[in-house]
Parts: sequence; C-alpha cells; structure tokens
Amino acid sequence: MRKICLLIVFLCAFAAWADDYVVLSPSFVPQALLARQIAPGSSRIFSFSTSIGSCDYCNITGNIVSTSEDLQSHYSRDKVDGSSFRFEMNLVDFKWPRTKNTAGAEHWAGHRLGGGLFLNAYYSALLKVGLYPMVVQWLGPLYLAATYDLSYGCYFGYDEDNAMTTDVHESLLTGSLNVGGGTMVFMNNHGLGVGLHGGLRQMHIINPGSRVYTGTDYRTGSRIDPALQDGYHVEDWIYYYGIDFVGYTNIPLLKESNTKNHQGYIFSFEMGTRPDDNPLIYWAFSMSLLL
Amino acid sequence: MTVGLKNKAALLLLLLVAACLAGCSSVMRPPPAAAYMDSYAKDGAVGSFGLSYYAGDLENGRHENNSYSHYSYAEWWGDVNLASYISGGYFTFGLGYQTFSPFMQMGFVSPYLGLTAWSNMNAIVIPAIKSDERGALWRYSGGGMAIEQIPLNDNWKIGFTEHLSRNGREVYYVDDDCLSIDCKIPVPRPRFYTEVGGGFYVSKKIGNDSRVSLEFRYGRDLDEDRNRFALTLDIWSSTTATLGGNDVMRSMAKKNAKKMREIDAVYADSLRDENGKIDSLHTIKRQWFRIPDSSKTMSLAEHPSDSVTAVTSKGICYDEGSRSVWLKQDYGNTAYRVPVDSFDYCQQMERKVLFWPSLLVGTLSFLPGALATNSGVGGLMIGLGVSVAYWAVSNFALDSEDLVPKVYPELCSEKHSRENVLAWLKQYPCRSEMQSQEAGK
Repeated sequence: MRKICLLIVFLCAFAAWADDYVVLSPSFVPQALLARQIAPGSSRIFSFSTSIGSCDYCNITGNIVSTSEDLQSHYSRDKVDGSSFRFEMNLVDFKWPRTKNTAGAEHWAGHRLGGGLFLNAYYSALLKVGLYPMVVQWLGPLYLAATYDLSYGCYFGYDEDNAMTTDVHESLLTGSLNVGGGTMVFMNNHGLGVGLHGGLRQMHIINPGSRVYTGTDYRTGSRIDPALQDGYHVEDWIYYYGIDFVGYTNIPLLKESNTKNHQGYIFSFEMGTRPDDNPLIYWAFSMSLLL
Repeated sequence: MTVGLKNKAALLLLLLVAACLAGCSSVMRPPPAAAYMDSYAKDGAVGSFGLSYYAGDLENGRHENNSYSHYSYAEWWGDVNLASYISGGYFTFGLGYQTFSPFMQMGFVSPYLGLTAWSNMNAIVIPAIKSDERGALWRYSGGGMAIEQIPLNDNWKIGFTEHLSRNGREVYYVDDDCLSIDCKIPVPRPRFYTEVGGGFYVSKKIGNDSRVSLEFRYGRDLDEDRNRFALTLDIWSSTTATLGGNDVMRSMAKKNAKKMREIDAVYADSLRDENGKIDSLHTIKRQWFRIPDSSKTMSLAEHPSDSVTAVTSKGICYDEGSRSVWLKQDYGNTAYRVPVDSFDYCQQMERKVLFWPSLLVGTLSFLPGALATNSGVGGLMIGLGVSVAYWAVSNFALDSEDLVPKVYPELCSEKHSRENVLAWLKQYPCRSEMQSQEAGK
C-alpha cells in the first residue's frame, strides 16, 4: 500500500510538472523489446513518459498557426514551449516468431529476427488520448521501427488572472509520425541491457493562448479590454537520439524464485533537435514495465 | 555488520546523487583502464576507487581581466575516481564519478584487448545544440581508448593504453567587486581541449577478489601544445551485482531455497509422501490458519493479537500418517508442513476495505492535480478520478483473493478443540489423487 501511494505521488509529481502542450508519437523501444522477447512470455507494456519541447528565439520553419485574435502577435513571439505526461500501454499485438519456451532459458538472447505489429494507446492529463499502431523488426543486433500517432486533445489556455480556464480552449486532432531504429547489447548473466536509438519524428507544440488585458480605464485605474493572445500551434520535424537502460529476467528460475512470469523494466532518455542551427529542442524521459 | 555496510553504501550513494544534483561538472580526463579490463567475465560488479595526480604544463596562474571580473586559470592537480563496472560477455558498462563529474563508460572487453568509450553525463541530459561560437559538443567531454593487457601470472598484469579524448580543465570566474550573489563560492567552469596520448599500467592481485593498479599516462594537448602527465592509483573489488533482473531472480531463488530448507517446505506441484507418491493439495477459498510460530512459514505471518500468529492459504491437505498439515504459501508456489497439534483453522479471508486507501490515494492526487490545472476544482476532479479509478481497478480488475487481507483483533481468537480440528481436516486428506485412482479401480 505504502509503495502504491509513493508511486502515485511520484507520478502525480511528474504530471504536475507537465502542462500537456506537446504532442508526438511515443517511443518504440518497449515494443522492440516485446518483439525481441528478451523477457520470454512478456506481452504487456505499461509506460509513463514525460516530454518537453522548447524553443527560445526560434525561427520555426515548419507549420505555425496563430490562434490569437491579435494576428500579428505570434510574429513578435520568440519563445514557444510545452510539455506532456503520458501513460501508455499496448492493446493488441501480433508478434513473430512465437516464443516456445516462455519459462526461460539460461542462454536466451531473444529472437534475433523477431518483429511485431502493435496497436497501442495513451492517455495524457488532462484531456488527451491517442492511438498509435506500430511496426518493429529486428535484424540481428539492430531494429527498425515506425509508428503513426493519432491524438485527440482539448488544450486549455489561461485567463486574465493567469489561471487555467476552460473558456480558452482548443480541440485538435493531430497526427505525428515517428520512424527510426536502434540497437541494444544484452548482458544475459545479469539480465541487463544498454541500448541506443534514434530517428526522425514530428512534434506539435500547442497552446490555445491566454486572455490578457490590452487597455486601462484611466478613470478607475482598472485594466480593461481583454483579448486572446499568444496562441500557437507549431508543427515541426526533429531528429532525436536516446539511450536506454533495461533490466529483465529470462533464466529458468520462475518456480524457484516464486515468480509467475518473466518481466522487465526500461528507463529511456531521449533528446532531439532540429538539424540546422534552430534551437528547437525536445527532451523526454520514460519508464516502462514489461509484464 | 552487513546491514550497517549497506546503510553506509546507501548514504554514500545519496551523497553522490545530491552532489550531482547540486551541480554537475563536465570537466573530465580519461578514466583509469585497469579496473575496466578486470570487469571481464566477472559474475558480480567491479567497484573501484582511484586517486589521480596531474603534472606537466598545467594551465595555472594566468588571469584574464575584465572591468569588474576576471578569469583565473587554476587547473586541478588531482582527481578522485569512483566507478562501478558490470560486464556480460565481451561488453562492459560502467557508471562513475570523476570528482564532481558523473560519467558513463562502455565498450568491448576481453582478457587481452579492450576498446572503450566514455562521456560525461551531459550526453544523456543535454541535447547537442549548435552554437555559433562553440559548436554542438561544447557541453561534452569524453573520448575513446584502446587497451592491450598482458597477464604475467595469476597475480600480476601489465597493460598499455592509447587514447584520443576531449578533456576538460578548470577555469574560475572571479567576481572582483562581488556583484553576484554567489561571488564568494568559486565554482570551476570547464575549458575543453583535445588530447591524444598513451600510457601503461601494472596491476596486482590483493586478496581473493581485489586488485590494485598503478597507471601512468601521457597526454598531448593538441589545441594549446601542452604536455600533461597523470599518475593514478586505483583499487577495486568484486561486489554483488543487484541491478539486473537475472541477478535479482537468482538472489530471490537463493533466499527462497534457504528458507525452504529451514522450514521443511517443498514446491506445491512436487509434494510427495514418504514413499515418493505424488500427493496434491486441495484448493480452497483463501482462509486464515493459526500456526505456532512465524518463523515456520513461507507465508507472510500476521499477528492480530499478541498470542496469535496467523497466515492465509488457498491450498491444504492433511497427512494423517505424519500428523501434519501441508499449507500452500500465500502468494507463492511452495507448500510447507505444520504439526497438527499446533494448527487451527480460522475465518475465511476478507480483503482489506478499499474505501480508506482509495480516499488516501485521491487526497494525495489532489495537490499535484490542483498544481497541474492551476485550479482547485480541477484538483478535486483529478483526486476524485484517481480515487475512483483505484477503487475500480482494485475491485474489478484484480482477483479479490489476491488482494491484501483484512487483519482485525478477533481474527483466529476462537480456539477449536482437537477433535473439531481433526474432523475439519479430514475433508482434505493428502494422497487424494491416489485415493481417487483406487476408488476408480
């Protein structure tokens, strides 16, 4: 119970940090490990991930749409940023080849030509859901993956008092592609793996804007004439790379250790940037459980 | 003793993490080579501690003056190295600290040849963003090294190294008029340079799992044409690896086997009588049983009152011949024997009431929810949602018999007579498979 409470507090702290303005298709590393079957018999993934997108003094070359009433406002804007906190899981999958010995083996290195089709879903606080099919194929020590994410979200802005309000909102259906690959080294004697991955992905940073006062009533001294400003929807491509730390079980000691199934965990750090001198960056941390 | 050491190790780790969070440096020179090479084919992890002394054309004593401040060049003459390496096959991965710089290292390792690369931790937390003045890698130090090792005998090894690296050295920004808040705390800033060089080491075995090495390294600063030397004394030892899933699994299996030996337990699916005939446990609804002592069970023992020790089980059989009862472990797959004279049956298990845990979880979610939404109503909605979700998942998605049982003072307080206990047990005799086969004939 205490552990569950601590976990929830930990996750809520992450959620509180994120403000749900970034949309991108999630990482393919957990699914790659399912396709590899490094933890034989594992079939479920539960992930928590935080993503941050930011751009100071940027010159966005991708699609940028201003949602402000003041159409000129985004031209003067030199900073866009946002973050998100997601819970991801796989719904259905079809993997190849089938794993014959799900109880594990002492020298099991997984399916070197394993692959899979996965249908996954995620929820992001407050009101965003996504569905993303994915394909992964291992070719010896390397794997290739592609996924397309369809997200529908309602994004909230801020009112005159700088408090989040449902009056300023924008509902959007967005799509984002993620193609890439990676490699991983498995230390089977310990049940540890270290991996690198990278690719090209589409990122959206969405902000419906905030309502601010644009004038002052000089008779009363109070601020008047609220107008919606600083809304934007940035859509751009970024190159990214990441490093993965994996722990897993696959030795035939399920019975002896009183464990029902083989399991694994993954910690991934990702960073991304545009290929030119543009300082748009992306940073992510994710924590996954393979069950 | 072991617990004390573990606590100290945990405190040290905490201190290191705190030092890292307080402000990591990106200044790094090549790490020692001998401990990395010794990680090959080790079942555990290699933990090393080293001290380095630097000499040669160190950049010291120069000052660059501005109006209100100056840069003081005071390159350090020493470093402390702490590192841990873990190896599988021909691959080794390591994490460590070089004084204030956390770093990672990995590469190929074998008894005679090693190829390794290292980098400070900025590589995994700061994206490589181009800067007009400083290029994309201006926050990183790291490099690569080739190592050739020759074992002379069981005790002595020698090795040769060649490296190419991007090192860092220290520069201090000095606020002469003390205009900034932290002007009195001199924090070193990195200046990077490219170095090429080589060296050699000698290592000796000390004790069963420990070694010590003395390593000399020469490096040529290609940017400023300086010569630097490093002398490193490194000591390391094999420690138990606990990070990997299989390490944990082996440890759990070992603990389980030890406990099974101590309390006469077997795997539930291989329960046998004295003649080697297979018995089977009867499956029942999870129920409480009173046992004499918490040290004689594989299950989690509860003490609803001072005089009562109680466990839950979903499997039972009574072996009349040995006057003992086999109980299945509460959430595992072993069965253990309890003498019938000190055994009693109690109430059926009731799961813990979910209202209070749900309320607690919901309350804990309120504050982060309110912060995230910047609204009290939003926080309340999130708290309520999490609370209801917790209750719903616990209630409907999980098997109620696998949830945490409710423990209350009246549990197992009623004592049954011997006759009642024996009569109750007779409905669950051991060797039931054999009996049913005989009945079938």
